[in-house]
Amino acid sequence: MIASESDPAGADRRVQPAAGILEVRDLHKDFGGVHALAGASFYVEQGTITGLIGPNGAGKSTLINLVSGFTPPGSGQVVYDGEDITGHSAHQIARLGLVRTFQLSSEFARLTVIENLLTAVPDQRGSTVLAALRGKRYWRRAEEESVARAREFLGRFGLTDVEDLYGAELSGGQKRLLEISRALMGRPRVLLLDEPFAGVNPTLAREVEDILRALRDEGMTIVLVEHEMGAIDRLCDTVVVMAAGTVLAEGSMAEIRENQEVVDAYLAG
Amino acid sequence: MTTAWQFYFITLLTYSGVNIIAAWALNLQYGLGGILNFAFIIFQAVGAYAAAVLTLGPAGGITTFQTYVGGAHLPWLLALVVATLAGGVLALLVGLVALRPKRTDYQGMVLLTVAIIAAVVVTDEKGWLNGASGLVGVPKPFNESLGLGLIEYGWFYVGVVAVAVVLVFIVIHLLTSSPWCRQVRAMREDPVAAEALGLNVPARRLQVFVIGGAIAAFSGALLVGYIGSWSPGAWGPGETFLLFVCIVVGGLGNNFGAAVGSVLVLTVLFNGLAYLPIFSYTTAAEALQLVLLGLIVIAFLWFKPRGLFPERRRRFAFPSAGPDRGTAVAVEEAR
Repeated sequence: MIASESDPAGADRRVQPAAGILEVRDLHKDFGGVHALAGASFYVEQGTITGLIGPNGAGKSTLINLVSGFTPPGSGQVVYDGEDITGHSAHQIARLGLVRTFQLSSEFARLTVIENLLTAVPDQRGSTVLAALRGKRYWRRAEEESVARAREFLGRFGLTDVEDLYGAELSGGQKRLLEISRALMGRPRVLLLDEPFAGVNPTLAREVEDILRALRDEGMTIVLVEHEMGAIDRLCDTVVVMAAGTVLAEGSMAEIRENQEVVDAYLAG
Repeated sequence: MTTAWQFYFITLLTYSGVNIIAAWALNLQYGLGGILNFAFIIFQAVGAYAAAVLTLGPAGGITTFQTYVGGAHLPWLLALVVATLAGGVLALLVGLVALRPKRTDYQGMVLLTVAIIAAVVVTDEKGWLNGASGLVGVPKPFNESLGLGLIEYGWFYVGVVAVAVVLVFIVIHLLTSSPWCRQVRAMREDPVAAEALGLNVPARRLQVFVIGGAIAAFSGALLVGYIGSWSPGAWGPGETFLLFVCIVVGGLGNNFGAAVGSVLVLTVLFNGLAYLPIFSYTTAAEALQLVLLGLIVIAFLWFKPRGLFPERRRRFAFPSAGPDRGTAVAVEEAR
């Protein structure tokens, strides 16, 4: 492909072969005078769980927002599955298979639990205006299939009994489970989880950990931001430590513990 | 029934039908889509103006007393279609600008401003749509070919409006029972999360806005066919809030509720208050209507925020055992 003269960005689109399924290269982002990201780079191998840790203000949330398309980037690149997705809109990125969850519960409060899941089905038949006008006969079969698939996830996440409750009627822990199962309905290849254990009781948290491990073993790539170091230790294949908008260290949890810089900046503090 | 009573009921029924259609359109936009369309009435107005000028014929001749643009002698049904499309096109243009802010309350403020500007411009630009005096003498649909008396024609038009209500209901029902509407409701609940799941929220908002705008224009075209005149007095920015009262009282997100709400608030209450005896000055009843509506909205938002008929909880009555048993989808069930 030849990059046209009128598209100076075209040259940048031809990316070097990426390391792993997701790679961020030298990401910068300023908010006013604050350097939220100051040259963060790392990559994520397919089929692994990567933990993103660091003190408050390290740039973890900004990084997630930028990778998922919710914050326009300053400079740098996000490469997903060999494609430069920097500056794509959030819904485009989600449709490519890179799906995120949020730090604060973001269930659809006045949709039932199963409706929450069905919303995430990509290209659900009947989800365009013209298809809707063709009536139930046109989309019923596909709807039944999606309902069946949604029920599988509800079973897996222990939400079967609350299928008909509104999102708002769930407990804090159930809302977390709902969010993760909803994200999975979109058939993602990479899950970005922003503090998935916040507000979840320890027993339930262990169950979520088991589910995440099982997903990884099925080939899912997971990146999670988390403050609970126990969970990071038990779950993550790789840990990326951020501080002051850059990556301070990267490696297994055992390696990270050996790293004096990290201990000073974060683990001891 | 005396002629006067018949005429009264004809007027009441025609207005009720038009109001039900308008309430459905606003319910789609706000009740289901979460769009605070404070400019709703201008879409009804553009439909009425379009239907009027397209059936009045070219300006001049016997209508020299009024000036307007775009006059034509279209058959009424064609004028109705064009008027509906005009509402959709106006909604597209307004929506492209007004729906740009991410927050719906900001969108609402922009839309309210649009409604106020539209009223001022149409009032002051006398050459466009005859300014504050408005258009009069709009031909009654099918009147010449039918040759009916005033009352007979009135009942005929009630029938026309009834057919229109059924047609709009079919469209609204197909839309609101579909997977499309589920995504629209998700967008209302949390646009950011909807975007994160891969839904194109701005595009979907625009779809809802355009469909609602077209239906609003359709209702305006029906109304002007009955009353035969249309002026800025009929579509002040405040008129929009009457329809908001209807859907808040009836139940946001519920089509049946929107219809009941519009009949209760506009047909029964608003109209019924006119029977109050004149106890102080002549416009007291009129002023009281607005006071009472304000109180009703406050009371409902306080005590019954989901209205008389809340949005239905959709259940999927479905075979959990055996793939081929049963086909029912989304059996709607009131809470």
